[in-house]
Amino acid sequence: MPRSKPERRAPIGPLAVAVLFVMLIAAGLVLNGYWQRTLTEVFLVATIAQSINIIAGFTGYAAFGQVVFFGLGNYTLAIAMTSLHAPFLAGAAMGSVVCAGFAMVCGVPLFRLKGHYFAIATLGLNEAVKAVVNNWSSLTGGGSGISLSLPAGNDRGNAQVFYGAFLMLMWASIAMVWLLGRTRFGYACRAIRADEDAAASTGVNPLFYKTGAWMVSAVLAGLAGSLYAYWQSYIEPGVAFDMDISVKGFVVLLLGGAGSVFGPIVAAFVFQIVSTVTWGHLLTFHLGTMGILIMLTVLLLPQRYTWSERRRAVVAGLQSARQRLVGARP
Amino acid sequence: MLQQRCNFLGPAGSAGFAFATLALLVCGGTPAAADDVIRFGAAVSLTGPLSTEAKQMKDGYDFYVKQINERGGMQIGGKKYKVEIVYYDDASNPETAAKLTEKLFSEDKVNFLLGPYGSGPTLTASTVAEKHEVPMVVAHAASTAIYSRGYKYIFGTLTLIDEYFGSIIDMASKIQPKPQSVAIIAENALFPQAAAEAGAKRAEEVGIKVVYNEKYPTGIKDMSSNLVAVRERNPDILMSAGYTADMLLLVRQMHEMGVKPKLLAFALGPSLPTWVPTLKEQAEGTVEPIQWAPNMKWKDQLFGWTAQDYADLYKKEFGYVPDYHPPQSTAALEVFQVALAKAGSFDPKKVRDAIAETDLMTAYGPIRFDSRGANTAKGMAVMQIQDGKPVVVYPPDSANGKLLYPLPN
Amino acid sequence: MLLTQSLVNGILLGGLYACIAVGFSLIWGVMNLINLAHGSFVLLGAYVTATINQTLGLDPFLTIPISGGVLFGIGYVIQRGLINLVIARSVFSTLVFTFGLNMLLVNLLLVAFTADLRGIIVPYAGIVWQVGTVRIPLTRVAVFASAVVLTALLASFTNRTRLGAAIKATSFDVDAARLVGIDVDHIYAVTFAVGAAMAGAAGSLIAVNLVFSPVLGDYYTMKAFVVVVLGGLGSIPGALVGGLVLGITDNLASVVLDPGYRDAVSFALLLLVLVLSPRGLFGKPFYAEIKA
Repeated sequence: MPRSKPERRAPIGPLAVAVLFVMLIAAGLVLNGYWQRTLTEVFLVATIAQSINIIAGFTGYAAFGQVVFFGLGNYTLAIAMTSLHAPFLAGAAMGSVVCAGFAMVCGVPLFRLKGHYFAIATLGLNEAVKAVVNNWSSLTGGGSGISLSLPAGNDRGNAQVFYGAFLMLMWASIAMVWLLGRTRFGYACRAIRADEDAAASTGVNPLFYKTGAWMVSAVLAGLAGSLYAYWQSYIEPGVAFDMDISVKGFVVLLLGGAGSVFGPIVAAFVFQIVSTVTWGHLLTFHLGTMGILIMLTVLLLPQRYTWSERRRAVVAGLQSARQRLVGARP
Repeated sequence: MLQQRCNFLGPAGSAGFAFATLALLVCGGTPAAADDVIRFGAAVSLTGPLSTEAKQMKDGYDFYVKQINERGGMQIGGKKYKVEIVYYDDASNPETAAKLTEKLFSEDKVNFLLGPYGSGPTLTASTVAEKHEVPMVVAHAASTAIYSRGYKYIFGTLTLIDEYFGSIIDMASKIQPKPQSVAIIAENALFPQAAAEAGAKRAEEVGIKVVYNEKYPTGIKDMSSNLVAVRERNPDILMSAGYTADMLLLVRQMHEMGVKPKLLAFALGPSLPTWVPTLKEQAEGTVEPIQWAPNMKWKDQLFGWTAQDYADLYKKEFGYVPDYHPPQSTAALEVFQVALAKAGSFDPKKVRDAIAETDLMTAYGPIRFDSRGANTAKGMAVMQIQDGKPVVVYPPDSANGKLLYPLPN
Repeated sequence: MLLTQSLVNGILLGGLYACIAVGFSLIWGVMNLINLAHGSFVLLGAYVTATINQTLGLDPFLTIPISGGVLFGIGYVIQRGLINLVIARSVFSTLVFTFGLNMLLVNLLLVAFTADLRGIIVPYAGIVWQVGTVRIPLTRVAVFASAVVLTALLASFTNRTRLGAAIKATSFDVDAARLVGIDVDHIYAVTFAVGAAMAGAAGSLIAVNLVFSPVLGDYYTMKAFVVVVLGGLGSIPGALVGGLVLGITDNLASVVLDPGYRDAVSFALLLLVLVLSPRGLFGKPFYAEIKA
């Protein structure tokens, strides 16, 4: 079994990161409203994918209902800003606390489950929270949703602020995943993914690491949710707790490679272009086309989780093919 | 060695991809618009659960386009402009509606905007329009919430949600002997809840007791519990608002559970094409407040049609008798037509001011906007299914039939 | 009074839930595959029934074998041709895959049938029996009875036929099954086809009582989840009991608590069972568990 190295970047790494960073900032200043918005969405999708990366990619627990944290972030912020008249940052901070707390509390019972059962449990969790939000009208506005007031200031300036905020959040999520790859915490998580019982026997407390990872991923998703609510100025339960957001995150993660630092970012870009193009040009069949593409993604991507493992597999395959062509040496 | 060369993913790869993406997307933009054309943008629900209703909305827009272009186009500042509408599908998703509205403005550079279908998408789409200070006329979202945010660029031609159940209650209060009680069942969503609240309020005002006012969750498949509770209270009137599938279910289960109100009203349902074919005899006597019916006594200032003329012309063009959705769409464009002629230019602020001063009679009804941007000049009529056909039963001067009350068992 | 009516409604509904869920349970228990397209299979069955009823005037209950048969064929082809390619992959790969499949099926249904709501009103829909203050509609009883009969048929199929035995063997231990000469690919395809057929039959029943459209399928998938978790994976009596429990709790929750909280109660129940007893009421150690 190939030794799994931590994800070390080649020396051009830091330079490329800086270039990417600058480019995206420049893009934010130059592009028109629609493209700005489209890119902002890419950053959002990338952040969600990284959030899922931390829990599913590293610890191997497929939290299919991860969108619950996105929704909680949305609603905490909306309630804080409308009922408590809190400023945005305070509301976002509250959202993070709520998400982390929720992950901690739910982690204890749910992490006893494995595989499909865990995935279904998180799905049930999301649906249960959605149902409660839908009904607790006095707090959440119920099915009618919550309208937030528009942020002050001119429109172009505000669009750029949101663009920048989502961009920063995406970078924060990249940083989190990168950090995870280099620290003991991340190592423990990956040990749990590989073989939880073996990891436990070496002194790793699985519940601690799983819950910790989930809390971090929850905060990321929650912050994305808070920003989103403020950006849209109107939220409702069906949108805030929409399973499609989770699924999109999983598809992007699958495409980009679980455990990889930049894979999900690239995948988010690719996915969003494809999504936009099909929506714009295939009026009655975009749903089906996305379905086919999702199936193809799963079908064609090799089973190896990360792109470095895939690369190794491809390289090994090429080498053995070359040997066969040349003829086996004695 | 091969491995190092293959190390193209990672930050370098991301940078490359990002650049390629941006280049691709920006270069693949849409072509510039031609002269002598005025372009409107509309996000419509071509797919999604409300696509059947929304198709009628789009047909209404297309009907106008055909009619006006046959006459040379809109007259603006001394020149005639052909009308073109750019459509995108929002699948009734509020976020998509917002995004598409942004696209219509920034990418397609349409001149003015038409509202999407439904209150949720309209709430978010109108926010985008307001931010960009582009006038948007809404023809298919009746929630008061849309017009209560102090927005200046959003106008709605249709009667607001308050009047939906309000007109039913008004009609009921004039019946002899007067109904004493009303029960309300509404879906837990923006539009139905607003209808329920307004309806309950109006009932209290006229002295009809609200004996039951409950929500049901979206996507419900069994309303028997609500209905049994209603049956216990034996109301004279039962009003319900929600997604059509739920309303159809309600009627069927009402018969199963033995709920027998004297008056049965739906905020939306009986006027839809699927209602009578699906429910057959059970549809008899069901009542709906409607924005418009072909026998309304209105005559269009711009095109000279009466409501009936409109219906006939429309049927010839599209092959089906229109419910209120198409003329609602057409009226929105007529508002623009008048405002643009008055403003004499495409300047959004001037057009916005001209729209605010609208005082127009259309085949759809009178249109005058209050300070919120809502059309308070037009009321609702009430129709009832009799012998499988819609009959207008209220108000008396527009009625072409009499209300069947109480409903026979 | 209200409570009794709710209880009766719950039982009748529960039978339908069981029928919807049992195919889902079989597929999950035997193949360790969660089929998120299950709701679309149910809808397909409903459309087959509605179409036949409209064109030939055949009573919906009589179309059950037809919708079952059509879905059997479709299910076999989909499994053999498509799902088999990803069956061995990770949890989230297969979940995402069937999600994509569902999107495709929904779009195909939308193109074929539009988003118009459909339902069937049978001539005898008005017949309602009254027992005390409790009203029991004939159609609901017929649906309940059919659901139970179908479920029993499935049980006898798995318990009494060779094919059924082969399916059970495969679900316990795939390698051992191969060793005794079972063609596992074929068995998987048959299992999936049978699951789809049950979904199709359930669809016929739905067409009688409810209205449907292509975008309303997820509801049935969600209900199937809860029923399977409650009743236990791969267990047919479990699906029946789970369905009844869900139907009753749904209805009682509406009456005792706020009607709006019924969904919250369903999912809270799901979570409770998962946490306290993941195997549900009747679940046995299964391939699914060993794999997980």
